[in-house]
Amino acid sequence: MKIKNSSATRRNFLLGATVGTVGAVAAVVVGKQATAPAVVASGAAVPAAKVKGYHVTDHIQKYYETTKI
Amino acid sequence: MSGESAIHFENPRTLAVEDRARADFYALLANLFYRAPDERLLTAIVVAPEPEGEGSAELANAWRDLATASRLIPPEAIEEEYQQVFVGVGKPPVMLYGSYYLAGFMMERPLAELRNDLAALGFARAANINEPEDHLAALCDVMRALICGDIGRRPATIAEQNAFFSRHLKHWVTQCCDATTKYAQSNYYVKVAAFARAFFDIEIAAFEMP
Repeated sequence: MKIKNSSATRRNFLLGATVGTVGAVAAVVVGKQATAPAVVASGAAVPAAKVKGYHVTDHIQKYYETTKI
Repeated sequence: MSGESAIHFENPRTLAVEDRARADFYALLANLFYRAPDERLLTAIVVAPEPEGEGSAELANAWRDLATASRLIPPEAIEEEYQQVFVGVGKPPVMLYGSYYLAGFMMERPLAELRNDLAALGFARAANINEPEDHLAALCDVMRALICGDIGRRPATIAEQNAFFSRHLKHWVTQCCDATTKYAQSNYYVKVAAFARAFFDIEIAAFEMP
């Protein structure tokens, strides 16, 4: 049962342009989604907060340096 | 049974090859814009097969550049760059939120409209997420979910995908990619943004086809 969604023009265009590039990466990415990324979704796919709570990065550290008298 | 195969809820037989590929691109972009990639993701990008790219030299070239950068730039440097470019101190140098481009400020009317549309589609922000829904990563994730479908959700039609894309991504996403590319502190994310731009150009052109 194929969903007839795309017109032939659209399909051919997309087949030529996109197919065969990131499939292998997506296996890693989608596999990760149970524990990592996506932000909004229906609850099935989803994330973990980007950086849990406050933490000091080098960038923040530099900012602190500038506040010292 | 592997945990990874269990993640694919949609029935792959109902998804055309090109739509599978689009969903994959959206998944990858959601990851790259949500946070700096970890070593595992970088390695996956490096070892991925070369794109054939006969239809879009831009996309193929952008992918090769991204793969090269993923091999050469250490994850710690990318993490620091992500903080500098997209987080910053006070106002982020490069905004990843649609409202900012569409209305000039964050948390503006476009975000309210987006929340209505997401509710109508049955999407909600995950409980542990603090980012507003108009974050580029969130919108890419919604596109992925629309294309793939999910438990109790059929894959969205092209018309439905187009409606969401046109309202919430089309009018600012290339601008956001270009802002990332132009920002002086961008390095790895110049490659990410160029790759994203090439992909979104293809999406925009494809949605305009009859």
